[in-house]
Amino acid sequence: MTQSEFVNRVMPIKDKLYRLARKILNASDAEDIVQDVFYRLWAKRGEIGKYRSLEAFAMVVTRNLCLDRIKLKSYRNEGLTEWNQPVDEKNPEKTTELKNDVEMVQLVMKSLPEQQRSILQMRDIEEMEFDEIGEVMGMQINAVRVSLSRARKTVRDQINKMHDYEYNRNKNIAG
Amino acid sequence: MIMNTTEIKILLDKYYEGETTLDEERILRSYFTSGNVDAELADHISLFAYQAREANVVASAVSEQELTEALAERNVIPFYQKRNFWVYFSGIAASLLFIGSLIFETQFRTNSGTALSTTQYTQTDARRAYEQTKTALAFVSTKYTTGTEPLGEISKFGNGTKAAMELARFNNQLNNINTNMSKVNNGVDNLSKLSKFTIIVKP
Repeated sequence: MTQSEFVNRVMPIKDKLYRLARKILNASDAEDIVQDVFYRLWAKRGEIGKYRSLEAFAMVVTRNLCLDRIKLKSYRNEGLTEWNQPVDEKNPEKTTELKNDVEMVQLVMKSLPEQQRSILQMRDIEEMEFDEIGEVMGMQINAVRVSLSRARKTVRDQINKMHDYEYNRNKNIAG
Repeated sequence: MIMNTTEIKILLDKYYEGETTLDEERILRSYFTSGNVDAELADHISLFAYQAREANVVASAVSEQELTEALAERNVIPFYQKRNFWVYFSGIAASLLFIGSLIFETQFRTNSGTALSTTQYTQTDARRAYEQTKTALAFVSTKYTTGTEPLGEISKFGNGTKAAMELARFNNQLNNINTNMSKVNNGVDNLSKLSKFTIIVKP
């Protein structure tokens, strides 16, 4: 694989890798990670054949680098404000109420364990098949399904809780 | 594809169980972001709106040109950092040393007649050297004997092993019990055969 062939193959997946990294780290670190992933892929281009696709291999490397970085510095109490940054400028016509709701979902996502967050990201946003996700996570398909279901239900329950809270608060203000 | 509320509800249940296909999940996403959602399902809008929004996030800082340049930079390895360089270098150095030593050896051989005879020792020098060596060796010998004294304790270890030998006898007894037990087993087998026999005979 020549260098330009390599660049042509990895550029289309950079956003996907970035989005996964962003689910584990904050935005600026995620950009760093994607650069780093490409260097490593280039250095290990001989091993790409072991995986189903360059994409799957790249996702594995991305996740591992993110987890390494978390181990390196303590991420525990960091990032909530950063996660609130508005990402979407394309749909300004959305009502502010809905926008707040979406931010709320984002907060709930952030509270999930990394495994569930990564699986949700790959399934609901990247639209990957279960076996692909299993390959990236090093998990059996059934385990992926169980973890995904658990994550979706947690998100649903948390959102409902928040809605109830809002509803009760509004009622109290009104009454 | 337009679906009614009941169908969407069924899909939603499947979705939360992790049992929907990617196509069904796309249907859900397009339904909930269509702006035409049944009021009783409104609580689910934010989740799918979030998913649709996240799918549009891009890594703006990573550009094709930058990556190409960075990779090209990484590809230029200084010659002394290549592994091959050191393999070749050590090979050349070793062979140079070998040839050098050969030349030295042959030179030395031809001059050997005169090489050592440049210094002459007198007989008293030799005697003094002999005496000094003797005292040095005597000193070493005394140190050696004091050093070995504690090793005498090792004989106690021998006593301990004798006691351990008694254990071997215990093992023999165990073997006897084993053979006896197997005889008993045989007996039991025979008995069980007998019992079958009686069953056959009864009717």
